[in-house]
Amino acid sequence: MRFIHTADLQIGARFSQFGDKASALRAARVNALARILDCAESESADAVLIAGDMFEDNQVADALVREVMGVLNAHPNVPVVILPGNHDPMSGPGCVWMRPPFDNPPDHVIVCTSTSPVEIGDAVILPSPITQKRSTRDPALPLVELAGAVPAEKIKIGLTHGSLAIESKHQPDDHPIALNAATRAGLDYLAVGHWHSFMEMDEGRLVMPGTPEPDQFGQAAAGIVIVDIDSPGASPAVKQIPSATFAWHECPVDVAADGDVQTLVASAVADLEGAPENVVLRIRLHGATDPTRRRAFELAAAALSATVAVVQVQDETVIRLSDAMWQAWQQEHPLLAQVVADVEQARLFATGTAPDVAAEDLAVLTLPELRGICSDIGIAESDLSADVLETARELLIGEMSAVAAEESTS
Amino acid sequence: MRLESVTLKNVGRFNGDVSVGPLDSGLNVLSAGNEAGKSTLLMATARALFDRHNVTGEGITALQPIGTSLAPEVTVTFQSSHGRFQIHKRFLQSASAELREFKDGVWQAIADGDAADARVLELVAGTRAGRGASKPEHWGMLRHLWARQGEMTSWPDFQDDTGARVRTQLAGIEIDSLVETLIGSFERAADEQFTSTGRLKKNGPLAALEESIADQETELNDVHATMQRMDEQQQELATSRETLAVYRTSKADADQKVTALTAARRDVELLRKDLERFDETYASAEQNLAAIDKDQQSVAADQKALADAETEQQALADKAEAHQQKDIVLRAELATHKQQITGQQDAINEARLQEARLRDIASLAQQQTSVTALTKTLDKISASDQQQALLREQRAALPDVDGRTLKKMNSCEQVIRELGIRAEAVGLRVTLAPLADATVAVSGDEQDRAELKIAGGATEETGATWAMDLNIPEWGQISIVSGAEEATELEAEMSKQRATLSDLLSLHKVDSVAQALEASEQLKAIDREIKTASDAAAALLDDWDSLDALQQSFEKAKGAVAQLSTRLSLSKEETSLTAADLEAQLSTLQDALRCLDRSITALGNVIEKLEKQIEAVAADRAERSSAMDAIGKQIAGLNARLKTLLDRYPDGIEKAMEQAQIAFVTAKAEKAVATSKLPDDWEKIDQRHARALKAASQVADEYDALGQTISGLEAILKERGSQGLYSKETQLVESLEGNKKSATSMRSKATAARLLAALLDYRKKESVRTVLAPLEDQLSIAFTELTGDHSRRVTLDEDLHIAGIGRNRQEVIPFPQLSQGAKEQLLLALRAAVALELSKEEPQILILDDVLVNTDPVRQERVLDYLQQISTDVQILVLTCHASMYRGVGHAVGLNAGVAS
Repeated sequence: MRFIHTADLQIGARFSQFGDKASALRAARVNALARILDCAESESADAVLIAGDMFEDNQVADALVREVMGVLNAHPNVPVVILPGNHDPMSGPGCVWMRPPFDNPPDHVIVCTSTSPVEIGDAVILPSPITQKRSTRDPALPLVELAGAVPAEKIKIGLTHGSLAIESKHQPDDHPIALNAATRAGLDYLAVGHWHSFMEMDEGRLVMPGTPEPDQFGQAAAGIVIVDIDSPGASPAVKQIPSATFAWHECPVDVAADGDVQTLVASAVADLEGAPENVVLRIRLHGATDPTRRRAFELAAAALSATVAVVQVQDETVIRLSDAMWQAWQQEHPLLAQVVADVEQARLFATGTAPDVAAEDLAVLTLPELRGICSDIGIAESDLSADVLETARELLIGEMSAVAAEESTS
Repeated sequence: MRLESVTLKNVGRFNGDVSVGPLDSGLNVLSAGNEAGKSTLLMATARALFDRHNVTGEGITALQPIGTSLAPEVTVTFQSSHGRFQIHKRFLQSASAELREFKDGVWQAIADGDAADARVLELVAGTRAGRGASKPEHWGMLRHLWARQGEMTSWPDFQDDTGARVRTQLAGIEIDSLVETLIGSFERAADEQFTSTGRLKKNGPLAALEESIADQETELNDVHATMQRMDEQQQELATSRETLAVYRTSKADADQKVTALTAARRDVELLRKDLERFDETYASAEQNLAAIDKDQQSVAADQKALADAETEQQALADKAEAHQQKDIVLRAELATHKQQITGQQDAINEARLQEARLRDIASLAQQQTSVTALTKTLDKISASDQQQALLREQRAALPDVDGRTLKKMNSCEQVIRELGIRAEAVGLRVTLAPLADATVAVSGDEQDRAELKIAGGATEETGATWAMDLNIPEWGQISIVSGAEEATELEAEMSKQRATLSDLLSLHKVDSVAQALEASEQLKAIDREIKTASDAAAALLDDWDSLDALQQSFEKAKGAVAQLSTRLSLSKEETSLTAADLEAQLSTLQDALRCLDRSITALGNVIEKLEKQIEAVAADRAERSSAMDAIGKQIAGLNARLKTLLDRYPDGIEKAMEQAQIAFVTAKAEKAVATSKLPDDWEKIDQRHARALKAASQVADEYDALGQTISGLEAILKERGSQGLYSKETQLVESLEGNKKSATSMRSKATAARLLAALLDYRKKESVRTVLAPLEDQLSIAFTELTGDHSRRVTLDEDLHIAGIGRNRQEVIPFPQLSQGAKEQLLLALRAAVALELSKEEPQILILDDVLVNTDPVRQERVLDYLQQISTDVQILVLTCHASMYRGVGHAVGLNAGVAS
């Protein structure tokens, strides 16, 4: 028996941090299913087992569900056995499995809405579907009795979904599966889903394949497994196959580093794996610099989206004036320098952050003065958040830096 | 710039040439009347200096003489730090401009046309206007230094470049231009989102975005609520399914119970039918036994009753005989008593007749007495009537003068008297004094004398109201008539009154008022007598309502006497009976009557008693007879019934009784056996069966209802499941995250911009405040010189406007609240300060249009002193139509045609 084991496609997942690029990432997960079915055909697999969480939620849009069925129907010769997981549990009439088109799927698509065994070739698939989002019960436990009813000449393959009961690595109510669940039930193989990274347990008979498409930065390589079991009782041969469309990369860029901005940004992304059009990139700007240079970094980072599929710029920079610039401003624009010191002082009042500039020769804004000014213009004290004051600081320094740049060129 | 002279041609009211100048470098006073063209002169000067020669528009055409299309021409000679210049401009038709400079002792043309315009603008530090004529903001320093008519108390702000320069030079303030730029930039950024009071702008981008976020959050909340509801419904569905399973079991149990009870009920039914049958047999045997027993008892009773009836019948017969005898005795006694009572009744009748007669005789005597009394009364009344008639005749003969008439007469008489007295007073007085005895006939004498006999040598007076005649023998008649009008009037009035009085007297048939008075008195006396007589007659009537009533009573009494006399036909003895006799006889008769009555009453009682006894005997007899009949019938009935009863039992009633008892005992035993076969509580089985049926029905209903609830929930969940709520939520969350970030960023930026603008403005004003003091000192000194007021200082604000004056900064009277004069003086001080300051670099002219209009005479001198003082450094041109105020002041300048003065 040869079959593909995958899980956690989580079609319809949310990617709110990526704005309008989220739909591209969602589409990738549907494409992952298509590629898995393609792989099943090309590898002559007897079946594809999806061990739970094919959908992100039971309440995904009908259009998406139909699209998925469309993908399944495009491979009518590949039997697909789908187990409801904790994201898409078999919870009742509102669930995706009990409404069209999955309430009456084609013959090659088997949705395990109960523990009824599914015979495919020489194997019997013993499903233990998930019926609720959280549970303290071991979903693999019913497989013990189910397996006992299977004739000895059949390959027994269990199919369930949950966390592996590894000490301090799982939640007690997260469908904990015993680490010896496969051998406990006398299974030749126990196909499990839930965690998004590959795991192999119980003499290689209990496998978590991971997600076929990454969904966050820092995730281990995504993929599926092809499993070969020659006969009942034989050890399964498990082969991992990468399947991701997108490669997720996170690149820090120090804005305080010397050098040309474009060069620094380009070098940060130079060694990324994968074609740019298949990269999800997070540029993390960090360090302290002046507004002009920071703006240049922001533009350079944003410009990457011309070639990279999804670019997210995470700005952790801090605007800072150089000592020379600060001295020059105090001389040439003393009033403006005073106001910079005032903003720093206001930030101290509001957040306790110490001023970033030395202001020995400048007047110190008092709290009553600040309150009076705010009162005159209708700003409540509570409106002076750290964010507002930082923005004020950046606005003013940004304007002054622009002027300084103009003055230096003219 | 310092003006030297201005020449106009075809400007305003100046059809020809008119020149002003040369002006002194110090104080110049241009006096001319109203509408003389002073302001026109200055406006033309400004056009020549600041406007392009080829400018068109209302500002230029206003220079043309009214009703003409002449081209205005203006020539201005002036000095600047660059030299001495003369600009000539012709506007509108054949517009031209020529600028000349005085070099090496001669005027040399240095530019014309646009170049001349530009150069002169540069020399006077003006700014180019756009389209159309220039405005004061283009006039450089002249904007501040020329107080135009009606603008003495206004001051332009320092916002433009010139103002900034003034401000800088005046107060030594130099604000970093970047500050203003940034303030403007930040304020604009803030104004995009916030109003001036810090509220979010309703139509601003941030407000729109936040509204959109609110809508999305509302929508998201709805989605969450629906998802939450779905979860609850899932839970409810699961619970309902579990409950349904329980109900299923309960339903099965209920149905099973019903089945068991139905079978038990059927068994009990069969046993009950058997019992009913045995019960009927038992009842029948019991009934039969009871019937025979009853018959037996009836026979015994009837036989006894028959014996009793026969005994009673005999007793009744004996009693009837005894009563017959008693009846005969009672009847004889009754007849005897009735005879006695008849005799006594006759005696009573006789006595009553006698009594009636005696009463009639007494009544006759009484009537006769009454007739006599009535006759006397009638006679008295008649006499009184006659007296009254006589008095009325007397009254009728008298004049009818009532009190009112009398009063009228007296009044007339009184008036006549008064008139007479007045007439006498105004009337004629004639004194006759004949020499010899004379008799003079008089008419109209006031004393109504017909003649006056006067002795010779004596005098006699006579008079009249207004006319009189004196007839002197052997002489003739003298008629004297008064000419007095009043006398005439009095006479007329008196005649009138006399006529009125005469009419009254005549009407009431009296000769005089005295007679009328007498007649009135007599009438009153007669009236009193008539009343007295009338009262007496009324008293006699007494109990009668009227004389007629009295008359009727009298006639009635007379009739009664006649009738009684006729009916009684009294005998001699009866006639002689007195009232006392009659009374005594009546009393005797009444005693006898009473005795007879008592006797009759007693006899009546005895008779009544006897009659009742006879009636009782008769009633007894009748009763007995009925009883005899009844007993006879009873005996016959009893015999018949006995026969009937005994005929029922041919073998005898005792035998029948014995057989019935045997049958009864047998039926009873069979019934007991059937009863013992029934189960315990068998009577309650129907009730239990009905209860079980109802319970099963209820469980079935609840089961069905729950099934429907489950179906409903499944349908709802299926329908909701297809709504794609998660995808909707995803879409909303993704959109919200972006929008919220944008909104936070926009709000932060706008708030930060507001704060920055405020901080910049705060620091700017603070820096200005530090340099104000010297300028305030300077202005305060000038103000003191102008007004003589040492106690107050001039206070400026951060925008370099005059805030007001006061002893200190805390006690300032604001500028708008000052008098017109104080405002003029303050602004004069400020203009002077500006001019003095600027003249350090460039000659300046201060133009003041009627500066002393609102200044009192005391201060006028001070102002003139001040102007003369500063005119050593600044050229001053004062325009005025009050020449007298400026006599002896500065250099007098006039508007002269052709040659300058």
